[in-house]
Order: sequence, then C-alpha cells, then structure tokens
Amino acid sequence: MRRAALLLALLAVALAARASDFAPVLPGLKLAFPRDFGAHPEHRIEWWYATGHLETPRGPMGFQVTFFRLRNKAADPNPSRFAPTQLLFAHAALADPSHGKLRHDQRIARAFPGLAEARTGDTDVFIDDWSFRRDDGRYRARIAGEAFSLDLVLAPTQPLLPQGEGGYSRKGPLPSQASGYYSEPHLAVTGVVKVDGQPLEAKGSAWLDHEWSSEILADNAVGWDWVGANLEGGGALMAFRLRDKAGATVWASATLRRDGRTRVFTKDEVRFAPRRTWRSPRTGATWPVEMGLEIAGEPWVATPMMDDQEMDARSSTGTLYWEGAVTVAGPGGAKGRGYLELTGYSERLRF
Amino acid sequence: MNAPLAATLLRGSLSGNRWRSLLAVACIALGVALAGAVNTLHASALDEIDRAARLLAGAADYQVKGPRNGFTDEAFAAVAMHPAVAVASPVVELEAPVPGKAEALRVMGIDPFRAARLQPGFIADGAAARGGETPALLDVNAAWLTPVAMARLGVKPGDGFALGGPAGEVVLKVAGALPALDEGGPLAVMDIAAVQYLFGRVGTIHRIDLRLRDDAPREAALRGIAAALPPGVAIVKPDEAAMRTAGLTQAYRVNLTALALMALFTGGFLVFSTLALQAARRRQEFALLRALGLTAGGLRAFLALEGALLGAGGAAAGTALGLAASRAMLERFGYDLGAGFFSGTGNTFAPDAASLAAIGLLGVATAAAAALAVTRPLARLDVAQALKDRHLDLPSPPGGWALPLALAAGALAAAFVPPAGEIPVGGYLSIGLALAAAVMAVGPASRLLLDRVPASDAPLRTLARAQVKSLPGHLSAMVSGIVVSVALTAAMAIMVHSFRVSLDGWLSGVLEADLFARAAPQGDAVVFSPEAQARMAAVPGVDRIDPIRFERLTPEGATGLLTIIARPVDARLLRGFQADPPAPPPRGSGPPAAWVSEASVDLFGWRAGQEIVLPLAGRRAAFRVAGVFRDYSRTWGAVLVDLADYRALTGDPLANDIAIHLARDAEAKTVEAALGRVVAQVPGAELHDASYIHARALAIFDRTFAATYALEAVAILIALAGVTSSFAALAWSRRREFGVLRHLGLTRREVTRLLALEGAAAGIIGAVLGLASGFAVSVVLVHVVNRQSFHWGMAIHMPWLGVAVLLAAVIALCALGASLAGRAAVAREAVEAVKDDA
Repeated sequence: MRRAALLLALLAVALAARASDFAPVLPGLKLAFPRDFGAHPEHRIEWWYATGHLETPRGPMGFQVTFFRLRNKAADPNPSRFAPTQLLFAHAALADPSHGKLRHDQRIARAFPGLAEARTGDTDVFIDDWSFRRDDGRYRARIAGEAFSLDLVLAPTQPLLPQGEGGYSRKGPLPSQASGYYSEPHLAVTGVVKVDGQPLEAKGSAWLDHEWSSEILADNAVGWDWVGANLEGGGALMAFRLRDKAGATVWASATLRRDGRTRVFTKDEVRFAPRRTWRSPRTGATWPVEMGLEIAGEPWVATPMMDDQEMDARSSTGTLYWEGAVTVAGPGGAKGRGYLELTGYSERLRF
Repeated sequence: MNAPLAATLLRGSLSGNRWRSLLAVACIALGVALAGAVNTLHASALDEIDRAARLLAGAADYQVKGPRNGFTDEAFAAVAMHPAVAVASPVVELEAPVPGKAEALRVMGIDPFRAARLQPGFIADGAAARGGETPALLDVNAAWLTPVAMARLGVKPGDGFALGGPAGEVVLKVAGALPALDEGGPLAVMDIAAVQYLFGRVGTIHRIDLRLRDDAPREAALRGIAAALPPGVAIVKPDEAAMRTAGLTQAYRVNLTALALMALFTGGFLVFSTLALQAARRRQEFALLRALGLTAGGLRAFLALEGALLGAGGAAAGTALGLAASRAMLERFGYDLGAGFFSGTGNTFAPDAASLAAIGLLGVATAAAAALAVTRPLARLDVAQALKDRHLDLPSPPGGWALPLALAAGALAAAFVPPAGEIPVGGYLSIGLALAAAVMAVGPASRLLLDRVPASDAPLRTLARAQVKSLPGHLSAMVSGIVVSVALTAAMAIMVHSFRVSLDGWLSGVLEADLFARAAPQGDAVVFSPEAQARMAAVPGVDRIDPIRFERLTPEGATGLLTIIARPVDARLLRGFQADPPAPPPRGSGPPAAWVSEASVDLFGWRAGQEIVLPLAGRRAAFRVAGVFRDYSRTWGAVLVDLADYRALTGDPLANDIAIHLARDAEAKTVEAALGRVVAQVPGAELHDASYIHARALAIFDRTFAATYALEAVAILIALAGVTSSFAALAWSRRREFGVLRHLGLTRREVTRLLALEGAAAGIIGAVLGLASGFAVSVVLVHVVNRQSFHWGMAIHMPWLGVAVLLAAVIALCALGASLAGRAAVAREAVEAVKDDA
C-alpha cells in the first residue's frame, strides 16, 4: 500500500473502466517467484517502490525510486503500436541535506516495445534510460534525471517479506478489495549518486515494495496512513489503515518481522492513534505527522525527521499528500528508520 | 557647386519638367513596388512557415523526416533509444478535409508525454489533470484545437465536430484549447495512437522531433542515428523546412522578379530620356554655369544627383506602394496570389528590411546610371558655342553596325552561361545585352529602314523622312525608349503565351481518361481504399480505372524532394506526357522502368539508361531510367513509375486519384451519375470530367499570370506617356523651325501632320526593332530563364493578335502624341515664333 497518490490523474484514466473489467486479486493467492517479481499486466495498477538511506562523501542522503504501471483497457481496440494500453510512470527523489532541497524528477510514458515496458517473468521495468531490473538476485536502479542521477544495486540480505496472507493483502470488506503485496526489507545498497555533475560513491540500506491490484480502495474509504521501517537488528515493520470520511478505520493490517520470525496482524489488532498534528502554512491541511500505533497491544511511534514533508502536486497530478522519512520506536527499545505516508486529508482521493 | 545653388537649380529643373519627372518617378516606383511586394510576400510566407515549424518543434534541435506518406513506426524505438537522444517525440501528421467546407485541417498526432518535454504548449493548461474534469488526455476521440482552428470550424471546447477520414467521417470532440500554439496556425492535436487508428495510419509516423543530449558529440550522434533509419528517412534541422519550401516557390518568384526588373529597366529609360531632353534644353544654362566656373565634373555630379533624386522619389514611393500592395494581397489572396504553394493563416506580415533597402537602392542606382549616361556628352560641351546657340540636340547615336552586332553576339554567348546556383544569371545577362544591342541599333536601323522608303514628291513626307533619317539625338533617345518597352512587353507576352499554349497541349495529353476522381482535393487524410477502387471499377459502363498514387521523397544520394507518380503506364499515357521515347521498353529481367521529368534531369542529373535508387516503403528500390517526360506542375522534379511495379515494391494498395475510362458505348451521363454516388461515399472526394479539370488548370494559370498582364499594361502605358511627353518637349523646342515652315507656306494642319508622320516613323522604327529584340528576349526567357528556373521545356508560340495590337497601338499613340504636341507648339503665331529666335 504505497504512494499511488502521485498517480491519481493517470489512475482516473485507467480506472474509468469498472474494477470488474480487470483480473481481481483473490484470497488464496500464492506468490511464485521469479514470476511475481515481474509485472502483472492484467491487473489495473502495480508499483515497485524503493526507499532508503545512503552514506556518501557529502554526508547522508535519502532516496526514493518508484515505477508505476497502469492498465488502460479503453485503448485495447486500437491496433496501433502506440495504443496506450499500459501506462508507465517513474518518479525519483534525492534528499540531500547539504543541498537543502529535495531533488526530484519523473518520467511518464505509454508502453512501447523496447522503449518503455513493464515485463513479465522477472522485475524489468523501464522508461527510456530509467530502469529498475532484477538480475542475478539483485536489483539495479538506473535513473538519469535532469538534476541528479542514480545508479544503485540493491541486494537482498534476508528472505522477502510477503504481506497479508502469504502475499494476499486485504484492503476492504470485499475479498476482491485486495492486492498482491510483498516487501524486501534491509536491501544492501551500493552504487553511485551523481549530483552537480559529480559522481559520489554511495552505500546504505533500502526497502522495496512490489504491489499489484485491481481494486485498491473500498467504496467508503477516502485515504490511507502507511508506515514501513527497517528495524535495527534485522527486523521490519509495515502497517497501514484505510480511513473513511469520519476518520474511522475501514481496514487495517500490519506485518512485523522480529528475531527472524514474521507475524501478520489483522484489522482488529492494529490501531492508528495520531499523537501530534502539523498544519501546513501553505495549504492549510492538517497532517498527523507523529503517528502512534498499537499492534496487538504493543505501542509504537513514528516520529518525522522534520514536520514539513508535504507534497503538493495539485498543479501537476492534482494531489496533495505527506510523505517523509521517520524514525520508529517500539517496545523493548526497538528502533528503526522508515517512511510514513498520509493521504486523503484534504479531499477524498479520486478513484 | 554649393548646396543652396544646387538646390535652386534642382528645383527649377524638376518643376519645369513636372510631368516628365513624375512619369519617371512613377516608372521607377512601379519596378520597386513590384519587386518589393514579391519579396515581402515571400519573406512573410517563409517567416510564417519558419515560426510555425519552430513553435511546434519547441526545444527540438533535430527532426527525423521521411517521405510524405510516412515511414514505419518501428524506427521510433531505435531513434529514441540512441544514447545521444535526450527526448524523442513521434509525430503523425495529416491534413483532413472539413466536411462541407473546401478546406482541410492540419491534424497532428503526438505522444503528449513525450511532446510536452519539447513543447509544453501541447498540453492544454493542465486541464487534463484538474480535479472534477473528465481526463481526456488519452481519449481516442479527444482533439485539442488552436483558437484559430476553433474559429475556422466554429466550435468551442466540449463541442463535437467531424473530419474526413479514409473510412468515412471521423467524429471528434473538442477537449480543450491550445492557445500557446496559435501561431502554428489552424491545428488539431490528438493522441498519436488515436490518429493512427481513426485515420487509417496504423504503423506509420511522419516525423520524430529530437532533442540531443548537450554532452553528446553531434557529428557521431547524427551519423549513428542516421544509420538506424530506414532508407528514405533522414535527420535534419527544423529550420530546413522553410528552406525546402523556398525551393518549391523559386520558379514563381523568378517570374515575378523578372517582371519587376523589366519595370525598373523601363523606368531607367524614362529617367534617361527625361534628363536627356532637359539637358539639351538647358545647354545654355549649363554653358553659363561652366563659364561661371563650374567644372565639367561638377556639372555631371549635379545631373547624377538629379537622377538619383528622381530615383529616390521613385524608390520611396515604390517601397510604400509595395508594402501596401503586399499587405492587401496577403489579406485577400494569401502569400502567393492564390497560386497554391502555401496554406498558412496569412496573418504573418514580415517585410525584410535589408531586401527592401536593396531593391530601393537598385531603383536609385538605375535612375542615377541613366542620368550619368546623359552627362557623358556634356563633358565635351563647347562652352562658347553653347552660350550663343539655342539649338537643341543631343549628340547623335553612333551610326555603325559594329557595336550592336558585338552586343548581339555577346547576348548569344551569354545565353549559354550555366546558372549560378538556381539563378539563371546567363539568361538575365543575355537579355540585358540583347536590349542594349537593340538600343545601339536604333541609328543604323533607322537609316537602313528609311533608305528603303522611296523619295517622294510630297514635301511633307520628304521633310519627315529627312528629319527622322538624320535622327537627331533627341529622337534617337525617344526611339530607344519605345524599343525597350516594346521589347520587354512583347517578350513577356510571347513567353506567357508560349507557356499557355504548351500547357494547354500538355493538359490535353495528360488528361487522356474520361473522368477523374480525386480522393482529397483538400489535404491528404483521405485516400481511395482497394474496396473503393473496386467499387468504381464495377460501375456498369466503366471500361477500366487507372489508380494513381503519389509519394514525395528524397532519392538516394540527393538532398531535394521529388514526387513519385505511380500509375499504369502504357504508350498512350507516355505520348500524353510528351515522353521521349514515347513507348515503354520491353519488360526485361533488370530493374523496372522509370520516366523522369525534365526538372529531375536538371536537378538530379539523371540520364536515360541510368539506374536510380528510390527509397520506397523503407527499402532501396532500383529503377532504370527509360526516358524523360514533361511535367508542367512540379518544378521540383517527378518520377513516373508503373503502378504494378510500385505496388509490388511497397505493398501499398491505396490511390490518391483515379483516372476512369468509360466503355465506348457507355451513356456518359448515366455512368458519371453512378460513379458520383460511389465517390460520394468517400468524404471530401470529388469526381470531374477531363474538360472540367483542363479548364480549371488553365483558369488557375490565367489567375496566376493576371498580375503579369496587368503590370505589362501599366508598364507600356507609362512608357508611351513618356514618349508623348518627349514629343511635347521636342515640339516646343522646334517652334522656330515650325515658324520658318509656316513662313514657307505650310498650314498649321500641315505642320501638325508633319509631326504625326515623324511620330509614326519613330514609332514604326521603335516597334519593329522592339519586336525583333523582344522576340530574341522571349527566346532567352523560354529556353534559358524558364528552363533553368522552372525546369521544363516548351516551344515558342507567337501571340500574333496581341503583338499586332501592341505594335498598332504603339505606332498610333506615337503619331497621336506627336501631332497633339505639334498642335500646341504651332498655336502661336508664326511671326512670333521666328521672332523668338532673334
């Protein structure tokens, strides 16, 4: 369940059709690899979403690399090679405290053989010279932005983390309101970050989400809260909830990997309790930037590295959301670093 | 000479010859105006094309372009993936007919995600992404229109509208406006896949706009990209579009510019004769100035200044007139007076200051040169003699044949000088020398002609003959004026007539079928599918149909564009196209036959028997040149190939036009009606019989040359007015002579008749010499200037009636003008006139 917010304008295109036109994600889903590393073109939406922290000669940096795929069934009758039956969207950002501002860039394209594709069989998604590929068990992200470029290798250090029931991640009261979803926590990152024309050796760790769905929001849901973090000592935490208009939880779930064991928590075991809000002076929106969590009775808290991590993309994609780096603290001195995402706090996300 | 004195003298001389000065100014103005207007129209058209191309290309620094009918979109990925390419944006482009209107709308199919990175104006002010609005970015029927296109179609955002497509009308919806692209003209922008799908162009693109990486080495990148392209597709800079268009209109401009030069030349002669007569009349004045200490050089400078002033007046008036005229013509007819080369919005008015200044200076220089020619004899002025003597004359022209013959030989030699670039300099030089030869021949020719006139007992004729035969300088200058204007007018008339007769004959041959169907009189979005062709062939009474397919491409190893005409070729068609040899070669095992137009021979250097390679459908296709054919419609070159060969090579079954032959016993009207119903199923398509197309082509020709006719008439009228006024000045100066004649017993009527006879004689000499040299000039125009700029051959056809009317008018007007002038001069009493001299 991650930052699809960026994509809403395109989603609206793809989602003009009914959810029933697409292949549903149903209970009993069995993940199979390497097949499920690859794309699932008959589902409405899919994303590969990597976030992480890097150490460079210029100091610590945060990065984010995302590839979205959207199915547009309306274009199916058109035999043209350019028919926009699949749309691809990539977004990359580099948080460099020494620079003071977030560098980011994006690419949108219709799928075109050889040029922009989300291939099946293994992770291989690319738009021109932007790519995210899995090869020899490791991922490679190559981003050639205007202001920066990334060439990173992300290597797994532990087994992947299926979310929900073995990869079937329920999102609402109906069984079809669900996604196929797995994460790769604690990816070891090495590579080169290029800023201001200067290549910098980089090392760090990252989190990868791969999720696909045809029906991601229940009818009465207006937005979601999501948190994912690498915990010290190899642990991992993921939790989300979908909210209705009144702020009540429509659906929730969490996954916790601790001491090598993974446990999934259902709707009734996961509670989100905002501890502190921040009001954006720019947009007037109020964000619960410090988020308290109760997972099976145990208290967790996600604290923002800074309050103002609001993303105002209303002029381009029509969306307003908050997404940023957090530190996570939990029971027994558990600590970690991750990302918090808050959507639907200014208006209902249009699906 | 000090300035105030010069000013006083100038004022005196110009106001004393007000009418003649005005005529000279008018003639210079006419030449400058015409040249300026042609230049401004052309500069505006190129400016609009150039700006539209730049606007639509946005940040693109190169474009990949192929044949007019497009190239495979498989080439796109290879170009886009080249490491030197930063952005690659594919474009499908066509012109779709607007149902119910005789016009087409330019439709661009783009990939908005890529195009917006080069030209953000392609995305309608973010409307696609706004909350609440239905996102139409990828809707198959959505079209974004420039405001000028919405105004043309009378639609607003949200409205539906239709365009003609190959399978019927395509219904679209105005999804938004593209105000940022308004200068690009009337334009509909759609998704590339939608255009390919709805307009039957799946698999085809026409252009790829490119932005290369700043850090990529250019040369290597361009070579690398070019290597990835199919044959016939090239990488060019966006501003080369305007240059290519410039090539297409070269011939048209040459024609009008020649006309402008002719007006300027005539103007120069008028300036010459005006100043010559003045100089003669003012000999005493000049002698006085010399006696008072003015040097001969100073006197010449003064006269040159006078000429330059007349020229400057003409240039200023002409530039203003040219600008006003081009502005009015732009609004009324478009950039090419309706000749059909451009289809822009017509709201770009971009005069080129440098060219206009050059043309104006040419006007001034012409007048100053004419003035300098006058002053030469003044240097030899015998001051003492001139102070006493009020006799009026210019030095007589040289009497021998040596100089005119040498000039004529030079003219002949110059005609064989090859063109410099695309400009037939040899031809123009030859015309100039021929005219000079004619002018220099005035003296000897008039003696030769008048020697043939038997001596007569009638005293008037004897007097007139003696007067003209001795050919005083002033008469010679006048006759020269007539020679030049008659020569140029006759030459243009002969050339235009030759062209029209040749075109007429060619059309009769080319339009050999009974009926012709055109899929897209407007635009190129509509073509005849194989089904539509079959339906036409199946109409009862139709003997056979000849589908015709056009393509425009750049042949291998060349840079220019040419047109491919693919249609069934047989001996009859070849005869119609005046092909040489007029029969197809026997089918052998070698490459298929192709006939190349005369323009192709000139531009690409092709010869019969040679093998040429044309990139058809992305493959190199070899043809053997079987012969040369005549093509009066494409100055840029054309190749005629057999439709069966073309189809075998390309697999393209479509047709732009269909030539329809009816069965011998068919009821033409009935068959035409039935065919009309079949053709009407294709939106925008038209069916016409051969005579209609023939007549329309000639009407377009006449409209194009209407400006020529009008300007010729004006030029000759001004020239004749100049001649008449010369006579008036001359008659005035001969008052003393007339007085003596009256004393000798001649009546006023007889003196007037004497002058009329003189005028007629001068007119006849001028007209005969003018016609002779005009014929020579027309031969140069037809066989050298036309051949080198229009690239087609034609035969000389004399417009006998027009020439006869011209000659008669010139002679009659000379006689009339002379007698009118004489009547005024002898109005005073004879005694007074003789006393005048005392």
